[in-house]
Amino acid sequence: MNTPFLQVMLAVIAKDFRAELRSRELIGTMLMFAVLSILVFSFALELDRIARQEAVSGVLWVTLVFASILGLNRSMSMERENASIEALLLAPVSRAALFAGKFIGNFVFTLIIGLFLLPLMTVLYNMPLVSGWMFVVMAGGIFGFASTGTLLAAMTVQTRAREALLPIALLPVALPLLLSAVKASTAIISDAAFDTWATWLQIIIVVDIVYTVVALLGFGFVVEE
Amino acid sequence: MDFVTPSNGEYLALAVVVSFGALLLFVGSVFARYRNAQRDMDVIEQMAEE
Amino acid sequence: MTAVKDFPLSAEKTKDGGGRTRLLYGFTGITLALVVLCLGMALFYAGQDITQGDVQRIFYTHISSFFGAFIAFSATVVGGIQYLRTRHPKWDSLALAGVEVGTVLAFINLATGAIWARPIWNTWWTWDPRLTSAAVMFLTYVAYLMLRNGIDSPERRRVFASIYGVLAIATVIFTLIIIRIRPDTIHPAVIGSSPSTGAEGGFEMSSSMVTTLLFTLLTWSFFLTPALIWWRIRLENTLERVNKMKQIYLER
Repeated sequence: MNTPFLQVMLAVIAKDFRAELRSRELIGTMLMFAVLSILVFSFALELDRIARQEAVSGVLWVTLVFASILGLNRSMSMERENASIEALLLAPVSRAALFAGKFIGNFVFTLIIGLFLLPLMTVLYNMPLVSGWMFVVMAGGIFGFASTGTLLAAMTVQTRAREALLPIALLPVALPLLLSAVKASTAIISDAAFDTWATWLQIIIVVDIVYTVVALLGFGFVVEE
Repeated sequence: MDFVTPSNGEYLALAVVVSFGALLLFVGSVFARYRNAQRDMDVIEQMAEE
Repeated sequence: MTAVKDFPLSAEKTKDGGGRTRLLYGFTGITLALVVLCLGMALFYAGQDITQGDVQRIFYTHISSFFGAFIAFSATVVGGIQYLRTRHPKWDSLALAGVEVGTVLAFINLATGAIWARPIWNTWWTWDPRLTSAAVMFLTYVAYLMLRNGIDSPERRRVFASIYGVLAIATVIFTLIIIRIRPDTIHPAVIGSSPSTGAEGGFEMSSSMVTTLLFTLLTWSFFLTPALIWWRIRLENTLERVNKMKQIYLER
């Protein structure tokens, strides 16, 4: 473990961002999927004003979860296709730093999608979605998805079913986050007092910490050959 | 009006059947897999002895 | 030429394996008697609930199966962590056994809940937070089994399954605590006071009911679940022995 943690982490992040800037593969796909999903939902649900207030945060989070699954699968299978993960593993660097790099990359990509969706849905669904607390809840929720998602994607990409297994493995584990995030977002949209939904934010933070620790510890076992 | 305790014993019976049925099914599956393994072992031992 | 003596011995024939087998048989006998006794107590000894009728007796099995599942899934966490530390396959067998047994018990929990809800809530299922969470908990462990099946290398399968087994306990804990943090669930909290004013179907317990509940809870948690796990581990050992024998036979 010669190279320091931070340096490795930043190098992995920089690598992913440079690849993304050149190909625009990941963000483009995720963004297109997210926009389509929101349009399809609004057609399929045929929402009136009251129903929209109830459903909008559900639509937002379901879209985000699937977009992030899309991104996670892409980012992990790219590593495998070019066998670049093997090269990374040969380097004398800590596995935790590799994980942190991949994880923060996935986190930022999904967060970009989320930040794009907020104003878009504000316009399309006519709901006040852009607010400081919304941003906090969104960052917290995506943080947890990205950490477990990075761990599980590294696992499922090595299975026979490949991409198909990630949503099956990730969705149930992510439920505590998803449910809390949806409840908190609904409360924020309906302008509820902070006290009434603070519990949800606390759950998100606790789950984030637990999942990130488990993922950090587990990643080393997952990528060993 | 007097309160009448509802008679819903049939749901109780259904619950008992389902829960103990599920347990028995699991025990049966363990047993079946065990027997298959036993049979495989017999075949291999036989072939090894030949 | 492979001689039969090269094959690994079955559990009964190893040094203290015979004693352990007798212990398992004894334990299984006691468990069987206790489970039958529990059922008898729930059906005949415990007092009838006046508002709910006989269907309330489901609840002894309902709650006990959840705690049995909790014990089983905890065994999975212990097995997973220990496997990652020691790399001894026996810990992974414990984890796998915990998942299979726990999934069966979680299914019983869901099924009995639905059957109870039909006469009391007038519906088999409702998208209450606790019900949703319990259903997702069940599905998490089905996903565990699917993940296991999808990996060919036994070494890698054990590692991945161990990690997923540890992660999956989050849904169990979430199911346990959600009733305390969601005041709008209609699921009654039986142990401790329910924070929910909207809980439908809660009840006061008489002493015969408390005795029955305690007895069933202990039996399912500390006898039925361990006995099932023990048998499942036995099966896993046998399956592994078959695989080893196949390898030895093919390699000669």
